[in-house]
Amino acid sequence: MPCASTLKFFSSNCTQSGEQIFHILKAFSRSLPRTPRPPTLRIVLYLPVLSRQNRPRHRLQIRPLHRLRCLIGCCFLPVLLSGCDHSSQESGAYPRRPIKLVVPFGAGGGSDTFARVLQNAIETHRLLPQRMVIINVPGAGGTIGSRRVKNARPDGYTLLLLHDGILTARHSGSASYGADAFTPIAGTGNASQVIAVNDTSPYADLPALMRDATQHPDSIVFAANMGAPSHFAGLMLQSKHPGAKFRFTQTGGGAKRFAAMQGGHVDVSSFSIAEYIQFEPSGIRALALLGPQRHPDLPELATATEQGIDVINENMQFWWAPLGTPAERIETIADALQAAMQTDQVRQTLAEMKITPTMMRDESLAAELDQRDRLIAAAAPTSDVQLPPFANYALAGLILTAAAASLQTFRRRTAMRRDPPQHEAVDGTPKVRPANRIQLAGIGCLTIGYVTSLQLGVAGFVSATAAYALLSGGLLLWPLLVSRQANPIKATLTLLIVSVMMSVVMHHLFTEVLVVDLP
Amino acid sequence: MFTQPGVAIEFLLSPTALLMAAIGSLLGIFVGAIPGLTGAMLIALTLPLTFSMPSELALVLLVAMYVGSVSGGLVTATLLRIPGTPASMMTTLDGYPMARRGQSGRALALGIGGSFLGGMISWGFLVCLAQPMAVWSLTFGPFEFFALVAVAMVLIASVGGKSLSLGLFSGALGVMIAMPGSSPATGATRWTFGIHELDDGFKLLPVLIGLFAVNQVIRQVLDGGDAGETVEASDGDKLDFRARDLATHGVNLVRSALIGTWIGILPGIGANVGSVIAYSAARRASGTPEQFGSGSEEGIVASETANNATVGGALIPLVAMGIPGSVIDAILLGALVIHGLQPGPMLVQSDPLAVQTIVGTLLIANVLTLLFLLASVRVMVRAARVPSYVLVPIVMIFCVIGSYALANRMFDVWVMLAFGVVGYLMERQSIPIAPLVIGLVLAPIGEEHLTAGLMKSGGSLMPMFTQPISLGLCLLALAMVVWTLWRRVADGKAIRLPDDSSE
Repeated sequence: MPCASTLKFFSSNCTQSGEQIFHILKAFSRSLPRTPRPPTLRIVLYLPVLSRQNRPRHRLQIRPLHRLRCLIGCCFLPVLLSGCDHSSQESGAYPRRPIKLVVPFGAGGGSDTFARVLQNAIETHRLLPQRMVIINVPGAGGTIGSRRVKNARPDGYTLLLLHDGILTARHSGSASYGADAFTPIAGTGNASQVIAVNDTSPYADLPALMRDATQHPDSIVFAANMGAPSHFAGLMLQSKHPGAKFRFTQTGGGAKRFAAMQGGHVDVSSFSIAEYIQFEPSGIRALALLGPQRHPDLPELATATEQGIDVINENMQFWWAPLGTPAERIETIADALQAAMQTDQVRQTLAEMKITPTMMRDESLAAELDQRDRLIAAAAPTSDVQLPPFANYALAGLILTAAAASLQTFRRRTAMRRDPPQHEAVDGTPKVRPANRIQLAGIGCLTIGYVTSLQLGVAGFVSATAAYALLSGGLLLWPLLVSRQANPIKATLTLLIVSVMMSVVMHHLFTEVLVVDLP
Repeated sequence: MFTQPGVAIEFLLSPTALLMAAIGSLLGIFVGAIPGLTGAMLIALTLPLTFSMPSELALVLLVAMYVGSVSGGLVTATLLRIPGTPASMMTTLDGYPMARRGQSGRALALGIGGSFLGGMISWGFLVCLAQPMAVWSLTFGPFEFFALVAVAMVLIASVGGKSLSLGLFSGALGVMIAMPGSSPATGATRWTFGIHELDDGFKLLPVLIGLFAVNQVIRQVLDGGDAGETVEASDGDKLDFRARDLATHGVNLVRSALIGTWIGILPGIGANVGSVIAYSAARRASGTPEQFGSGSEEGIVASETANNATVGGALIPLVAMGIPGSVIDAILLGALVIHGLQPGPMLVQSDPLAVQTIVGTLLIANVLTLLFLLASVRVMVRAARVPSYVLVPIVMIFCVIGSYALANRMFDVWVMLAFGVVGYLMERQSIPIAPLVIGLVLAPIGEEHLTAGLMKSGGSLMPMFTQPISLGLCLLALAMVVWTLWRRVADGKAIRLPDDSSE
């Protein structure tokens, strides 16, 4: 059955796509000359699939339907054409399909921007035969995303980009696994931390600060993002200067730490170089650079090592694959990354982001990871302040208010029984017909089935969504058809259009334009 | 700050810039109207596309998207009772009942008008007061922030519908829902019962989509939907601006815009909280507070004015100090850096054109958004009248995609479905939903700041009562508690019958 196979071909191609607007346009223009069949044929083949399979009774309506088909066909032309762009690349070695790169932070953040800079370079210089699709899986300090990659199939098609957070998460207790749960691919881009104070601060240099932290332990407020590099920078300083103790305060990201410092709420904090250069003119002053040597953008700023305190704290973007990924696939990715890091495009952007374009792989990477892990382990945090158990308070509050609410409801019900209200209609629950309950149960089951099939990957997004839209819509439409309240042809057509719109067009919109990786 | 504005004006009125602003506002409105897609998502995903553009043009596009996305949510909130963005959550409370009464045109007119004027007022603040206001907001430390959240929490009692105890219960439930997952202060996980998917807790967006959209679908199916066929447009759909609107709603408008701007300036507290606080304030000041929640014009004006006013407010610290006032501003900040501009107070001197572009685009995008909304409202009203057998699949699929797209995981979809059922059951028991949402939004913010304060003070709560700002806010919260209780006792001696049918 050619129609069904077209649909299958179409949907299987669609599930592989996922890129930005300019890529679609590129793909679109590229695909035009080598479209396998004339576009018109494709439309005719494709559209009857839905109509014939699902509405066999309305063949007589072929004329208006035909006109509509052409109309819809025109709308879908770009969809179809961009869908067939990837068909020619089925054979060949790894990678055969797009590689998913999990960025365990939200879109727009530092890690995400870094990933997209490299993705862009790999794309424009064609360093990989397939595309690299960025999937943002934010949450819980990066552990939601890293756990997903840890559990992914080690076939080289699911990779992770995660900086030193993978090491700190384990030592601060927010994850049970560390770097040894992954195969490292490469370490790219390095940014040192800067210890900074307010302009008006009495500390002239890092030793002065550390002396004061030793003489007055637990009084200098250190603004940090708990468990993140800014926190570990302070912890490392402490561990290298016995007796010194900061009072760490959860303040959040760089901008929030800067604001707290400006408002005089904290004494000292740690920033990335880019953040420091951004905030410096507004009135903060660096004490030391926690890097191996001075930074070209801040030539006057002495490193901590120069000042006699041997602390190096840098943030490197590491690329990981699940444990057990074949070595030659790791090599392929590492080669592509290395080439990407050497392009002018990447070097220029990273220079603007104040990131050193480091590139580490193989032995040097393993040694670097090992050293960083030991440094971080040595500075592992201790919890200073006993925080109140907020969750227990919340539970207590819930129980208390639940008791009060049920008491009042009970009293109200009793009062109502004694003195029933005049109007039945004011009662909050309207009369429900049994038929509607059945409909609701049906839609509930359909929804659960739909979501389950998406989760298990039983059916592709397009087919599952089209089926769901048709079935649930049909369930609601049925009584109207039976009671002749709805025009059957018009209603069925509407439903068909809706299911096609929701499945194919939404799929296209999300994967191609909004770059969301649909299930 | 605004020396030589001629260059900027010339640039902003060039066809390319206007086209970018138009594309940005349109996309923003579109994304804002779809539940689950947020402006932050749109802007973050557009950012890489702007790499190759001149930086000013990129700023025009991104700022226009920001404005559009905050405004777009009001349409679906009013017509379908589905807040397209969390910021238009409060609009559903009054907009939808009005639409049900056949006054959708009036409700949308109020919302659109409020959005526009709110945006314009906060734009005025951005131009005049950027510098001094940004500096003053820096004096807010953790305890001040916590006290501010406490004030907002107390407002739960006032949006809680007619039964105080049920409102408080709902609020406590919201706080409780915010508890599992990572602690907002230390990152330590708690109450996850060994389910790693729960390590990040219940996200706001899936919960919101469930509570409002899925709940609405369940009700619509149970009510038997509408007649089935498209209802012909009636007079109620025409946008209904009235000559006396400015006189009747003027005070409310200005108050809500002020609240929105101020909330926008504070870092980390976004448009959602702005509209909640403005809504509650409007209800307190209103002569007819009992209409709130069942189709009050004032409610729509307050909510929509305030959420658009936060846009201008949030840009104030960004422009003046390089500090983002909201998530979207943080992304805009990233955009500046990528385009080689150095955000911060020096930006005004080093690159005045960028600052003027941001400020000017806010104005242009506001006007364009108004025009687009006015032009498309009839289409949208008609779209909302589609029969339920079309609407239900569309809404449900959007809900599924929207929750999934948030973090690319199915767990959020299940959370969304579960909260749909929870929301329906709650409303059947006449438990209001709004306090739950407020509790859920505010609890993590409050906890983070309280923890920060305690860490800073070494575990003592005393600084909260010794600092003048936080003391003042605490007293305000206390006064509101006392006043609410007193009013309940004063005019509620007899047990009221449950005449709130919780429409």
